[in-house]
Amino acid sequence: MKRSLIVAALTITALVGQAVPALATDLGTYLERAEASEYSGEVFVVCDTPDGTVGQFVEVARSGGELWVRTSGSEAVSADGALYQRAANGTVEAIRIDSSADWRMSSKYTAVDAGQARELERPVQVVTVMDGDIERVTLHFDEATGALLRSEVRNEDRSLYCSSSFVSFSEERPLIDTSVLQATPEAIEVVDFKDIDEAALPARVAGFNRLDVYEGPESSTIAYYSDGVFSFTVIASQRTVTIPELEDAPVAEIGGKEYQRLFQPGQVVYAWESRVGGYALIGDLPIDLQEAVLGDLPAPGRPGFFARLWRSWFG
Amino acid sequence: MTHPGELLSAFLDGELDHRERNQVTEHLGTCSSCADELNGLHFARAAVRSLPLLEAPPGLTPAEDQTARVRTFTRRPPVWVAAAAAAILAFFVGIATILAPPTTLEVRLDQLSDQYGARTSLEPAITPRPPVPVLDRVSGPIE
Amino acid sequence: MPDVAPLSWEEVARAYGRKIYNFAYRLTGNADDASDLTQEVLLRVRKGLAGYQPGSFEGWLWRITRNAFLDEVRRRKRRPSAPLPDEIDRVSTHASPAPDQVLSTVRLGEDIQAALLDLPYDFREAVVLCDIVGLSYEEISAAVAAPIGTVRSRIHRGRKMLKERLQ
Repeated sequence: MKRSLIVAALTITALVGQAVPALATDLGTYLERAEASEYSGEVFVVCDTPDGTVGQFVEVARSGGELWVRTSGSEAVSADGALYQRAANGTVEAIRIDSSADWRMSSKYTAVDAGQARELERPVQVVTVMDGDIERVTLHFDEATGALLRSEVRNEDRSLYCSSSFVSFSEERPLIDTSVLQATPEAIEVVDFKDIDEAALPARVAGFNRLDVYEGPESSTIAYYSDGVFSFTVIASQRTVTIPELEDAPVAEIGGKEYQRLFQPGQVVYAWESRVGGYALIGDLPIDLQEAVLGDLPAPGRPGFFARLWRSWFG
Repeated sequence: MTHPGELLSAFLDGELDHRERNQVTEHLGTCSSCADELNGLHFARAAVRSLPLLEAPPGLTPAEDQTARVRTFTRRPPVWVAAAAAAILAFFVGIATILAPPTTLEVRLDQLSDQYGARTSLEPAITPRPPVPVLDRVSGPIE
Repeated sequence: MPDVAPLSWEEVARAYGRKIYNFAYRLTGNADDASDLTQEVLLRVRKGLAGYQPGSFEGWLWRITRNAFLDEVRRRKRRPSAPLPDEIDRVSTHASPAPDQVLSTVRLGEDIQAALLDLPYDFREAVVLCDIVGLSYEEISAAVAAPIGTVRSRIHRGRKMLKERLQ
């Protein structure tokens, strides 16, 4: 009796003393299943930001490779890489990205199976994406349909930055109103890398790779960066870049410099003027990665003499 | 073979190889719902093919000879000379502001958001955000 | 040094102009738009002929045509958006047939054109390239820069939608 108690005690100590090895998992398989799932419901996206908490309710439906979203009278449909928007007044705008780099997750991330849980009374499989020892993203996948029922992103200090979760969910196959798909999308094509000014838009920024580059309005350049989990788009221009909606937003101070910034549920937008020209950035990065990325791009400052001269001749 | 689905259109258009064609033919012999579907596809294809090939309106192809542009010379120097002269002046005097003020590139937030959203829709959705960006994104901070 | 194109620009315009016009017309349903778009496409082809690389000439031609068409549509839409006229008009083209017309299975060209315009753009483009321009799946795949499987899917789904509307 005594001997078996000792053995039992030793066994328990051994288990508690070592970290149980986490089960690495193939996130791609979960995501593929989520892309193919069919459902309708309502989602709440909320972010805790330095400028306050921002949130939004959206109705969603996914079926047959099409994704439909509606909020306050306007709706959008995503299908075959094209995005169609119908505003409340009925106008439709559509854009499609022609050709893009393949998705790959940076090796700094590891996806691990983190057990079962329940979401809206439904069994879910929890998967965590680790960035070193930070639980960057926590995902709840519905066991029945594969749909992603909840996603949470954390900052470096482990505080919760944003979360997106279903407040109602139905696995009945929805009817998606496809009338908006009749609009002809504006095609955005990837341009050749050889014309890129590496100083203005480096190939690598804070661990993110520059994937696609496009020609922007008025000779500006637009680049898309991703690390497989987070991503952002940057516009770089010889001119000052202004985004009217950022005019009244609180100014952000990062690394001792000032930026215009606006937080929206699930994404953040920055605009600033540097020595080499104007910038705007939009992305879904948590706060510490926003600072790292901004730190790796040209900092805010007055445009240099030659930039000003260029503007006065060609601006 | 299980129901051929999209292969039926390929079958109709002669885009299947020998082996696939035989499999579909065999399946059609036993499956009346697929035979019906094939009829429907055939009907749709025939309808589009029945559209007349319209005559292009006359004069659609540009005229063959491009008349040479006639250059006219005037006493007044062209605009670019005046601007360059002013710029050189500015360089030495250090007053860039006598030239026209620089213009800005205005980007609407929804344009930027749409382009970002269209690109991210090509990748698996992982992070929290509305799965597709929508216009009129409501709220400011929740008090 | 690029090889000489197999045809001169005048020959291309004469041989393909009509098909390009029909491509534009069936995609837009509007004769004026189709004329303007065809002009623009032919201009592009003319410039592009100088840089033509040997390969499938028709494949190259339709790739240029389709991209020029989309570019031109995009360029024209760079004004404050108004509802697309064909969206408003289309609401009225689907009055249900009177009982005594149901017997007839013949469909007028306008009905078919209207049904085409009801398709999502990608499906419409694929069906037009297949059944009006007469390209193979592989040629369509090259023209629209999408895999053959996607092309096949778009054609199939487009035809199914057409069948629903026409029958």
